[in-house]
Amino acid sequence: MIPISRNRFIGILVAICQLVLVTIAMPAKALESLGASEDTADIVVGCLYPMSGRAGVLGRDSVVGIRLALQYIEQQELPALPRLRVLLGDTKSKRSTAVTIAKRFIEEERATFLCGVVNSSVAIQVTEIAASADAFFVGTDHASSRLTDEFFHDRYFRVTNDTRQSMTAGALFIRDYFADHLQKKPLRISYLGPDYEYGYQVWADFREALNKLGVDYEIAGALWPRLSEPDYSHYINELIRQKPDLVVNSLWGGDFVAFVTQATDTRLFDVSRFANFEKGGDYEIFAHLGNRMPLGLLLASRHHNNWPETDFNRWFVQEFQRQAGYYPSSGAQGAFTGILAIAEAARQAGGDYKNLESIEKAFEQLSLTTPEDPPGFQSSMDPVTHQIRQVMAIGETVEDPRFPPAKVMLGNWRIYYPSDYEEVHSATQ
Amino acid sequence: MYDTQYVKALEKVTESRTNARLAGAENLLRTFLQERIYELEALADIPEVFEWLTTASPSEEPSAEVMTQLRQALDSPHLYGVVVKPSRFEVPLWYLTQTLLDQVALDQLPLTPFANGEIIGPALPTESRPGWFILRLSPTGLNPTPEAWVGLVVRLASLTDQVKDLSLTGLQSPLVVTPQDVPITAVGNIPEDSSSSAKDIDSNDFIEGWHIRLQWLGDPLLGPLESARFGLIFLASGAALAVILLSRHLSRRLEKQVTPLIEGADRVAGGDFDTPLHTEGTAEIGYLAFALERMRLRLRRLVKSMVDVERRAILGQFSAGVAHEIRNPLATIKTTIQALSRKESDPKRQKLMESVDHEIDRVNDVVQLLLDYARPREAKANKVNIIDVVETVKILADAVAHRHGIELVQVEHEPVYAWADSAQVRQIVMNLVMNAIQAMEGIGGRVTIRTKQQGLAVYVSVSDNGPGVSADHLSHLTEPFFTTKTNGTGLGLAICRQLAQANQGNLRFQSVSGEGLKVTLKLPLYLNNENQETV
Repeated sequence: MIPISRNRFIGILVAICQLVLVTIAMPAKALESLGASEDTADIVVGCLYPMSGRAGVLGRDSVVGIRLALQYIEQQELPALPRLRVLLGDTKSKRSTAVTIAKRFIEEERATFLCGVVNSSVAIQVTEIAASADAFFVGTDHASSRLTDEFFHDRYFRVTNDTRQSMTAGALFIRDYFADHLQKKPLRISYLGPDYEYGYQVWADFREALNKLGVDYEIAGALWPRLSEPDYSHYINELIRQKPDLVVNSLWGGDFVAFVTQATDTRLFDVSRFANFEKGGDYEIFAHLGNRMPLGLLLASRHHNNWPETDFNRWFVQEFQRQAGYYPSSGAQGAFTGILAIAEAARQAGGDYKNLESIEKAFEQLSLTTPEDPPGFQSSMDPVTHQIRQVMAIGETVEDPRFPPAKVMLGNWRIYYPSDYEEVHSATQ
Repeated sequence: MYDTQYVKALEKVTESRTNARLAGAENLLRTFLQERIYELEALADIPEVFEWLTTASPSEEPSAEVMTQLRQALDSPHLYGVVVKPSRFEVPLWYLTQTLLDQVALDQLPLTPFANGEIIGPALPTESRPGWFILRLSPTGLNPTPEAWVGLVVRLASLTDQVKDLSLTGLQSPLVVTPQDVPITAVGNIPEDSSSSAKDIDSNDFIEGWHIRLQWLGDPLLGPLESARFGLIFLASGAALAVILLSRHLSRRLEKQVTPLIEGADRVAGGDFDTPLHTEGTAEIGYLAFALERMRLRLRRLVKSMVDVERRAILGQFSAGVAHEIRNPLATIKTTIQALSRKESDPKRQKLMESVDHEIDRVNDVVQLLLDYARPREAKANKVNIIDVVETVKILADAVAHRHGIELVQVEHEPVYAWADSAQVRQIVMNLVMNAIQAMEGIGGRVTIRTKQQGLAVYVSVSDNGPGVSADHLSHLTEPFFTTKTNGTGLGLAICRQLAQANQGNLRFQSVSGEGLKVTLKLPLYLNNENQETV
């Protein structure tokens, strides 16, 4: 028998465990797919979402969104629309799992498009895979502005607002909402964001926008709970101790639900105003908290079930509810838009679905109407940053029982158009 | 003293408990680091990683297998990234979000040995990013300088999170003090107020240069508690003082109220029933004072009544004796005088004898009066027409009045009826009228008789405009043998009062000296009721 050291033994054991985990996460022949069959598909899209854990609801809603998008495309009966085959993979919010699945989509399933990804850290890993394989990566739910900046590549396109857009809109909102306060003294701000790439970027983009707008503020503290933090009590106590005028938060999904649930039993919402301009106003939060959702919180999201009140948005929300049995979270609309954008870009490229360069050019010039577009406005792709330009709607939590089980929704809207927040950055450049 | 002893005992218990909790937290921190060392050893021992670390040529990209292994390590919630430095590389390769490297000078971070690895850092948290440190291990040995090493970039908040259970909200905040002597809170940030105080508690180093500090926040929570404690002591002392002062005040007040009562009671005990007691007082003392005053008045009435009864008894006995001892000889004398008078021819002597006879009658009358007073006749009540009685008296007294130049006036009134003994009423009215006439003998004047009915009583008043009676004499008018006249017996008004009382009535005297006297007889009204109580 060959003697092995204790460390080496542990190393081998860990390697075996990791292999088993990857095998479980990626059963070789069990990929779920939607749309066209393998034989008839013009384009293969590999979508990566977390389908389990605290972020699982976003992934599951995204799948329904994709299904709705495929139906919608089919109903359009437009010429040169490609037949899409959409593969689904559960990232479990882990970078290693996401990378493995992404590689398999490209190398084994001949996917030319990747889409999805909720977690920005995971998205950075996936975009590198896409870049190295010359595949498209259409971001539908992650928001770190570094994806269109430091990690930018020609085939990355994002179809939902990024952190720079949302936090610039947030800074504009604060300048307006706290105008009286700001005339007297600086606004004391505490930040609490998830301890990863996205959390850092939200905070950086927000401060950059405040600085560019000349908002007089001071930082009371910055806190970084880890993803899926089970106990926020110490963070909440620290926020209460810091006594800020405004707490800016960028937790999302189940983490935000857990935070608000724990904070409602404390004085936090009484001693400070509370804002989340990213995904705090997501419907899944309201559905989860029901009548425990505090009123007067300043929130936004990438899609709202009660705004804008257009036929397209009503159709999307009601059709989703009819098929899923509940109302959609914002991820569903992101995935819906992502699939719609891929089909439209391919169609506008002229029908040669193998010509990825022409599809890329069409994508850069893409304009399309999405459920979250208000009347008279159409989402459009920025050809330079490959970041879609959409309207940001920020509201206050108010009682609204129209979308049960939620008892509270957003209201008292303030709307910011791309020109508003682009002006902030262009004026100082 | 009790409070001091209690506080000392509490501090001792708290200190021993704090030490135990600190020891537990130190162990948690070491265990957390040790677990990361195990993960690091597992990573470094993977053959592909080991081989790449030791043999890779400068700038050689890691293989896909190595990258997969490194990515696997990044899935840990406690890790931000991985740093590797193959032996032939000049600088390490970072697999880390670049934001975390903002404002970090790697060569200036402290180096602390731990287990068979080293800790580099921590890179302290800033406004834009959290803090972290590197836990590194060299497969070829760390001394003197490692040629090849692999490091985990560990989340500083995951380490400091191990001490969160030491937190006592508002009282103590646990901090992890780094080798740079910078305290980090349990949630991984630098506290706004990181100044230390004498009440802070520092643990031993759980690894070289790192220790736990329990920052004293006492003032926000314990300050009010301490104030409350001293406040309670002050309150208790104040309450005791207030009780003493209150007792003293109450005692003085009680003494002030009770002393006059005691003096009054002593006076009553000494036979002074006429001086009123001091009846001012609060609550119970006031009730007691009123009760004592009532007792004094009742005692006075009782004593007076007893004296009256006793006097009457003595007078009765005396009158009976006098009557027996005087009337019989007088009867003999009277018979003898009448017999002698009939045989006397001398008119002068006969006149003298008549005079003796007359005086004997007068003595007899006096004796009769005495007997009447001592043994009053029982009243037999009937319906009495008071107007008739007054008219009869007026007719009888008119001649006498006229003789003395006195006008006797009866003020007219419709008939009124009293429930009384008519003979006794007539006697009373007659006596009062005669008294009035006698009071104005020689000076003339007017005597007025009035009758009236008011309520359930009938009033007959006899008033004169004579000299009246002084206030001193007024209260003694009905006492037997009290008289202001030179030839009066002092029994007339005493008998009148007796008769009035026997008829459920009374006499009331009003006089202003020099302006006459008014005497009012009050009698019960006849109610035309068959069941009217017989007197």
